[in-house]
Amino acid sequence: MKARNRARSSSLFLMELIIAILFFSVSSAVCVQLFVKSHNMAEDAQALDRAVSTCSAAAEIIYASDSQDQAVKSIVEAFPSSDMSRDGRIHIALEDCDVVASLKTTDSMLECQLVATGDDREEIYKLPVRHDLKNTSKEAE
Amino acid sequence: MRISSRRNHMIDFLFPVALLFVFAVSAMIVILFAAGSYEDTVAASSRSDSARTSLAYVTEKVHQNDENGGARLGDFDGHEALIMEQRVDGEDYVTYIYCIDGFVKELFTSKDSDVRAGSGTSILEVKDFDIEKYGEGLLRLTCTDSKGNKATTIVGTRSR
Repeated sequence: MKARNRARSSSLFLMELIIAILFFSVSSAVCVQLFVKSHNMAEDAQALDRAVSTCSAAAEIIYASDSQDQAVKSIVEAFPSSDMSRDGRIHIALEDCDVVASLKTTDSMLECQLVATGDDREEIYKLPVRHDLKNTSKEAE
Repeated sequence: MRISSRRNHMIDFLFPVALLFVFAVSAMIVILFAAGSYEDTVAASSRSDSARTSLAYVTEKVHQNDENGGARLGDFDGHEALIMEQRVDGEDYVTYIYCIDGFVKELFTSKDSDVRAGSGTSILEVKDFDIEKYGEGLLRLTCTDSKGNKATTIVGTRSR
């Protein structure tokens, strides 16, 4: 009788444990997903932070330039990891993202599109910059 | 009369204990994974906080005080400083931003007053903070925080 009771309590404990493990597996799967998501979000935020900082610095250089050539030269000098492609775009390679600057001048208006892309080539930040070269020349005079 | 065929085996005890052990180890792994993930997130957040916050602060200060060529590089009490002059109610004031004793400091004072660099307000603890002239109308700010993370930015002084 005693042995029978012990066997019954042992199987009850086993059932309880199996249910607890099932519940634990489901909740830990959800938790791991959340941790991975938060890690990815932190990495994305860091990349965005870097992209914003780089684009702002490039924009400051453009606002301080008197011509498109000077802007291009200053940006390439300021970012050692940058290079110019054949189509005249400046590619700035950063640790976790890339920034592409496309400059053009239309009627003394220097326009630049700064686009930052993440590791998966998806656009994460965009900063259009317009700088009136006429006003700069006047100020310089 | 029914005769019970159930007998007490060793496995009846060992299997639940083994399962309990697996459960405990899995729980521990999940907790360690969570702690590691949280640590990474906080480390990444503090990395951008220390170095970039000081740069963002100084950049904002330059933009704020950039009038009539009021923002320039100069010397303050033997330290290289960013000097920003402004006129408030007909009186001239100066804001100095400089690095001394491992701190970025700021001092807002009347232009004629004789003050020492040590009396500035500490903004952030850094290892190194450097401001240099970078071309016409541009300043390059470089900050190395206490953990050695380096950040650089460029800010323009538009009121030339």
